[in-house]
Amino acid sequence: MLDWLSNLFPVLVVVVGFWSVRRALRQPLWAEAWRRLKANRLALIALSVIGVYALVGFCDSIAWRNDKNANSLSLIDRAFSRPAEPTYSAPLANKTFGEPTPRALQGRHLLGTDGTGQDVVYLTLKGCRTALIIGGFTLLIATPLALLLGMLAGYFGKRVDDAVQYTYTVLDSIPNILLLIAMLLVLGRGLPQLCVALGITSWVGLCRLARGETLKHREREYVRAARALGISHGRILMHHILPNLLPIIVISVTLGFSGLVLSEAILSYLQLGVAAGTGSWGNMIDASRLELARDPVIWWNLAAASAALFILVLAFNLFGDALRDAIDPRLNS
Amino acid sequence: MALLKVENLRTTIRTRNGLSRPVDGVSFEVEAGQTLAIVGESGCGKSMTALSLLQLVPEPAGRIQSGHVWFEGRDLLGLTWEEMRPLRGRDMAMIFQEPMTSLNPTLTVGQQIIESMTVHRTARGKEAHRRALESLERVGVRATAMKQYPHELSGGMRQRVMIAMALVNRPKFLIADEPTTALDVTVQAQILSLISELQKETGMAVLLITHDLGVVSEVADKVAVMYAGQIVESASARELFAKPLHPYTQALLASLPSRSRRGRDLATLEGRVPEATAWPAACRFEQRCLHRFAACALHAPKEAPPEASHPARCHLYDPQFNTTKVAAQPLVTRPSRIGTNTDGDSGSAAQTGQQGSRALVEVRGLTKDFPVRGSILTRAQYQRAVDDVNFSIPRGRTLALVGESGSGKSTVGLMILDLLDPTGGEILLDGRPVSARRGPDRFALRRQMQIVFQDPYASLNARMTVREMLHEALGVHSIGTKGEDRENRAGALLEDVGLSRSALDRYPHQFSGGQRQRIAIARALSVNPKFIVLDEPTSALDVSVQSQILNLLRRLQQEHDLTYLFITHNLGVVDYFADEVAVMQRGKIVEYGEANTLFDAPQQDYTRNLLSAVPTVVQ
Ligand SMILES: Nc1ncnc2c1ncn2[C@@H]1O[C@H](COP(=O)(O)OP(=O)(O)O)[C@@H](O)[C@H]1O
Ligand code: SF4
Ligand SMILES: [Mg+2]
Repeated sequence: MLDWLSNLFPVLVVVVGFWSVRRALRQPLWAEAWRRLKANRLALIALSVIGVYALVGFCDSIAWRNDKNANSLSLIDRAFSRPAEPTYSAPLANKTFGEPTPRALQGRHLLGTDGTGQDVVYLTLKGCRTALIIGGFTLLIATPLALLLGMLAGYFGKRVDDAVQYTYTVLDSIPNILLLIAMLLVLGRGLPQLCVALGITSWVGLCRLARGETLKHREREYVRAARALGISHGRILMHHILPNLLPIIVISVTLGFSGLVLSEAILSYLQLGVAAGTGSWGNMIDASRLELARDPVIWWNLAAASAALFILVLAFNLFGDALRDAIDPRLNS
Repeated sequence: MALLKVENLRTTIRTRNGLSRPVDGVSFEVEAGQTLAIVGESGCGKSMTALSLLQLVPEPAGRIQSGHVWFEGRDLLGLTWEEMRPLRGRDMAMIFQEPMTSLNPTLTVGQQIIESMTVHRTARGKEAHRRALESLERVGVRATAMKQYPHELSGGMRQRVMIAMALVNRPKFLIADEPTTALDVTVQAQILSLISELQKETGMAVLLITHDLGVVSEVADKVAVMYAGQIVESASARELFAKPLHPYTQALLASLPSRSRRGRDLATLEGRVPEATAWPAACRFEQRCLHRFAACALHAPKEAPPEASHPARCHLYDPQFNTTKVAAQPLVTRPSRIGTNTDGDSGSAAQTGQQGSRALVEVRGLTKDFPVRGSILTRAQYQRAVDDVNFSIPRGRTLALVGESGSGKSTVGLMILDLLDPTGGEILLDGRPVSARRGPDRFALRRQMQIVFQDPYASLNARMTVREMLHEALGVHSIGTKGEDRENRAGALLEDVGLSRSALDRYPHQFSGGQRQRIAIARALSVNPKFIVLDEPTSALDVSVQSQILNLLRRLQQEHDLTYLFITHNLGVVDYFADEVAVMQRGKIVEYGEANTLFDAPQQDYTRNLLSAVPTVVQ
């Protein structure tokens, strides 16, 4: 029963995602942007890379258990279901690594194994889901909050604006990392806690942007014309101003995603991130801290996690930049 | 020898829809000390011609295909970018229409003027500073502006700064691309006379690009009329206005509003300039020409020989085609100058006398204070933007509110529509105060008053289709029933403003400026208002489109018994359109009365200045 529900969720995310993209593409602005994006090879490569990560994350989210007592296993878990090796092994080696009397392995591993004998490819793939959830859910928390407050502040001004500005100025004056540490100490370690904490620290930038843009649009004549027609404030905000803010929001959210993925890695490295058992690149990097000091060096663990992280961040940044150019070619000049 | 001689210039730009040819065989000459004006509607290739002279065509899509630009005997098109560099900004300077985008927002005015000298090594250090100050003073900008950033200056000031910057190196040739289009009459007059004064002092030649025929007749020595990438007629300014030959020139002149045309439709120029990717093969003006005949669709008119004194590119003047010579005489009556005694609308004088009881809109003691930016420590200060304004508009009539920008006209319009809270005073609609209404009553008021803005690009939501806009407006006031009924109403509205129903599915960017203004008017009409504020509704449009919109507004006024408050700085339009005029200066109404009387015998110096500042077509 629970399996069924928890599998429905990722499917729902994918369906809603596809549906929104398809709807957006029917509008000339987005259709035009997509046409320009398609002409940009780098953007397409970045998008495919993101797609591969998303696919891995999706497969890792579809899970079920074989009998009542066992753990629920995802598609990724099932694909790597070989029993663990005894300890470290180098990439493609057939013996364990660093032991006085190396033992034979049960099979070869593309990127070797870590201290507990887990396949590094497997661990790296497990990190995808965590990274995507951190990025996605944090933005799901932060974006509506930022938009709501920013647009209200920009549109109504006066007291509302004072209150919102005061809130984010105060938040902004505390260094983010301190705020995060404090919140995680209170909330405890874990994926949801991390999303909430990152959400609270990351809405300020977008809120500022939304406030400024709303301020600009509020004075535009189409908003005045709407008010002259007697259209309500709520409708003006939702139907007139919001669609005009969307392009800039989409760009900033895309670029913000990579920042969040990096934050997760840094926090996990500081042992403030997700729980130790959850596969995450931050945890892998944290674990490999000591391994680098060993002689001979164990590098594959660190290399795999860093590369996975780096490629995803790079892909998001490249795609975000390409999206910006595609949506507003004038920004180039 | 001419200072600048352009021969057969051709520029192309690669676009998604094919190769665009905005400059397609253009030739002209400018002598030192002379002003040549290039006129034509937007999209005719005027700006691209100017940019081509300086080899500033957009990279990499644009390319100057052929031609010569002889400047002091050298062919500029043969020079490399590096060889061109010292000429640009030193010997040849250019000023653009929108001074905000052409000034660097991150540098102060002083830094930018000084930089334009140091890059050309014409002056440096103290000397450069002195000359910068001098040039600012010359264009009438106070010295403190040296340390200010562009955004801290008004539009007029920024344009002056641009001119100071362009002229600080004493160029021999100045290109001015719509230098006054964004400015209002008084500033416009100052800028134009400034350019001609400087021209007299230094003997520079000026290439003036504009779509404003009034400006042309005021300052140009020679005029070249450009249409669809070609020069279709050129002559001395006097000759051109006295005896326009080309049907395009005639149509442009005929579409100018003036008092003598009051009460009648203005001549319009239907259709628009063809796309530069697909110029028609025969006569490019053929589709819009009132004098076309069989040969026009078959052969392209020949370019007149260069030695002709008044060449016109049209078959009517080619003996090979035209035997009847119908158009040898000007085909249109030309506008008369403001202030001459032509009989206007004689009914309006009587109307003015009996305001009051019949007034639809009445404004009493209207006042508005805006807070002025101050520091936290100082008390809030206020600037009075509107000061004790009184007027009333009888039902079905038009009151024009005129004055320079910043005089408070738009603020008055916004307060009447309840879009801005007045500081004091009262607005009555149908004898009932507007501000006293609350809740549903106030909402119902929205239906009776609407507004049309100047910039049809900003006043339509770019993310909504025309259908969404009209349905929304109808829906808010529950006009008609959802679905088919509203769809029919929306279609009828579009037809009422001269658009087809197929426009419903399109987004604003798919329309031209004039079409967008029609959509804005349809949206205002959708709720059946009695009163419409027209805030500079034609100022952003070409003269040919302006006359269409004015005709439309006039027809709608008659058909729907509309009352207008017409905010404008274009006095030609006022003279044609308004029944009464209120002149505003620094928030106050300084003169108010029936239009003809006021224009014939202005009582206030300010009104006289305003009138004399309007460039008019003289004959
Ligand atoms: N929202 C505002 N805040 C402060 N000052 C304003 C505002 N709107 C207009 N003003 C000032 O009010 C004066 C009149 O402006 P406006 O009504 O736009 O003039 P016009 O329509 O004649 O161009 C100007 O000095 C302008 O700077
Ligand atoms: S050639 Fe014919 S169509 Fe062209 S402008 Fe002359 S009369 Fe009109
Ligand atoms: Mg105005």
